[in-house]
Amino acid sequence: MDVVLAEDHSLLRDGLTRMLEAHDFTVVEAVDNGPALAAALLEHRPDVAVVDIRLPPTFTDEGLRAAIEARRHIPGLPILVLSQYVEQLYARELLGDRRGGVGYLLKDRVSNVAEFIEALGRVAAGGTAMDPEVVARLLGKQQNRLDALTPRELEVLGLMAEGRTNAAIAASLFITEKAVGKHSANVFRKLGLGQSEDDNRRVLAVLAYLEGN
Amino acid sequence: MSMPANPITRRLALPGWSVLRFSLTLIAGALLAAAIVTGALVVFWIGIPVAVAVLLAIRVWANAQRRIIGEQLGITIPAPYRPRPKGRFDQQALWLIREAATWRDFAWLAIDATLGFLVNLLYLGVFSVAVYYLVQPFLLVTVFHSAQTPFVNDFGFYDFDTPAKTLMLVPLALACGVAWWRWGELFLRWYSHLGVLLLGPTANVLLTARVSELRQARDQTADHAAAELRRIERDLHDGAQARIAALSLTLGMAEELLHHDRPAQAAALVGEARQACSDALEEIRQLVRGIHPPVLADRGFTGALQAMALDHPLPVSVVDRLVDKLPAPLEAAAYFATNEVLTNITKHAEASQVQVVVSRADYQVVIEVRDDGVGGATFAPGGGLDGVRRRLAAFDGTVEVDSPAGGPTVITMTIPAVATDREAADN
Repeated sequence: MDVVLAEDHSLLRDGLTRMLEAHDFTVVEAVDNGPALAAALLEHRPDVAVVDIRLPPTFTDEGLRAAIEARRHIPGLPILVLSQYVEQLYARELLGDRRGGVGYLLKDRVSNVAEFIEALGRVAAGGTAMDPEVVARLLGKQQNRLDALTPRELEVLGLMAEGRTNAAIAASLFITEKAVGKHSANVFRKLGLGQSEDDNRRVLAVLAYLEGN
Repeated sequence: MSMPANPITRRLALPGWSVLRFSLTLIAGALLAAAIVTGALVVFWIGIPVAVAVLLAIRVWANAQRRIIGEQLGITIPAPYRPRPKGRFDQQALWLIREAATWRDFAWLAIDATLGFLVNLLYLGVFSVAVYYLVQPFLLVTVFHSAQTPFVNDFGFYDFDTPAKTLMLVPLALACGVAWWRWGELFLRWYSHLGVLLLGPTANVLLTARVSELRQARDQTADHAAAELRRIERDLHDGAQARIAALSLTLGMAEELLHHDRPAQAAALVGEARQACSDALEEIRQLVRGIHPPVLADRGFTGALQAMALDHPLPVSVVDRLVDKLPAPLEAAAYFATNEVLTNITKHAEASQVQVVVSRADYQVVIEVRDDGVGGATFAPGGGLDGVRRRLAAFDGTVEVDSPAGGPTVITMTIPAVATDREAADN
C-alpha cells in the first residue's frame, strides 16, 4: 500500500518510515511541510496518508488544513492525522464530510505498533480511527443522553466510536463477537439509531450522534 | 436634590438653586475671613491647629460645592485629595498643606466669596425684578387699594407711586424676565464650569492615580508570572522529569536483561517503558495546555473559544462578533479568563446552558458569559472570579458580575484592545 507521510521532525519521520516499510507499506513520499504535503497528496493519490497536524511554515494546524483541502479535491482520500494534542473541534472538522477514511490519533499511539498499523489499515479501507481521548470527551459531554446504557454497552459504544470492528471490540473486551453484536444492537435501539450492516457507516452514525446536541 | 431633566422645570427650579449657592457664598466669605485671620495667627503656635481646622472646614465646604455643581451640570466631580495618612498631627497638617488641591480649594473659596456672590446676586436680582414689577400692578389694584404703598417704587428721578404708573415698569420687568429665561441658566452654568476647573482633579492628580493603579497591576502581574514559573518548574520536576528518569532506569534494566539473554523479561520492561513514556507525554500535554493551549496558537481566540465550548460539559453556544484576530497577549488573557469563568459555572452555577458573546467596540473587547444557573456569584478572595479580575487587570481589563440569587448570571469582561496593525494602517 502506498503511503504519503508528512512529519517535520526528521527523527520521527525516519522512524515512521522504517516502521511503515517494515509492515508492508510503501512510503512514496515523505515531506516536511504543508505546501509539499498538499502537492504530494494530489500527485500520488496514496492509499493512505499519515500527517502530522503541526507543520512548517506556520507551525499551526497546517497538516489538518492540507488534509481537509486534499479531501475536497479527492473525496474520501484516506488520511490519518497525528497530533500531540487532540481537540474535539478538529475531529469534528475531519469528520465533517461524513465520508470516513479518516483517523485522528495522539502521536504517542504510534508506540503501540500493532494497534497503530491496525488503525492505519482501517483508515485505508475507508474506516475511522478516533483517539480514545476524543471519544472519552464526546461520551462525557453526552452523559445525559447515554443514561439508559449499561456500563458494558457504554464500553462497546466507546470502542465503536473509535472505529473498531465487532471482532476487534470482542478481542479487546474479552467477549465473543456474538455478545458484541447483542450489545451494539441494544445501543442502537436505546439511542434510536438505524442499524447498519456496514461497519464504517455504523461508526459514522455513532460519531454523528455523539457530536450532536 | 438633583436637577430636573425637563428644561422648563429646570429653569423654574434654578432660582431656588441659586439661593442655595448664594448662601454658600456667604459661608465662603466667612471661611475666607477666618482663613486670613488664622493665617496671620500661624506665626504663633496656637494658630497652627486653628488653621488646620479652618482648612478642614474649607474642605467640607468644597465637597458640598462639588456635589451641588456636579448635580447642576450632570457630572461627577471626583474629590482630588490623596488618601489621608495615618500618623501624628504634624504629619496630617503637612499632608493638608502640601496638597495642591488644598490651595485650589482656597482659590475657589476666594472666587466664590466674591465673584460667586456677585453672580448669584445678579441672577437673583434680575429674577426678582421681573417677578416683582410684573406682579405689582395686580397687587396694587386687588389687595392694596391705597396708593401709599410700602413698595420700592421711588427710582429717584421718578416715583412710580400709583397703579397706573407702575404699569410703566412692566416693560422693564418683561425685559428682565426674558433675560432671565434666555440667559439665566447659561450664566450660572458658565460660572459652575469655572468652579469645575478648580474643584476637579488636575491632570497631574489623575495621572498620579493612574500610575499607582498601573503599578499595582504590574506588581500583581509580576507576582502571578513568578508563581506560574514556579508551578511549571515544580510540575516538570515532579512529573515528566521524574517519569523520564524512571524510564531511563527501566530501559537500562531491559538492556541488561538482553545482555543476559532473557528477552521475555526484557520485553516486559520495554512495554513498561513505553507506558511510562506515554504518561510523561500526557503530563507535558497538560502542562502545555496550561501555559499556552495549542488550539489558541492554531486558531486564535475565536477557534479556541469554539474548542472550549465543545469540551465544556454543558451546552455552550458561542456568538462571535470579532472580525480581526486579537493581539497575541490579549488572546491568551481572554482565553484563560473565559476558561476560568466557564469552569466556575461547572463548579457552582448548576446551570443547564451557557451563552458566550464576544464583540469588539471602540477598541474594547467585550466577552459576556451568561448562564441560567442559581446565581449568587461573587468575587470571593482567592476564588475563580477574583483570579479572572487579577488576570485581566494586567491588561487594564475589568470584570462585572450581575448575579442575583436565583440567577441568571451575566459575567462581562471588558479588555481594552489597541488597534491591530491593519486597523492602524486604515486610520
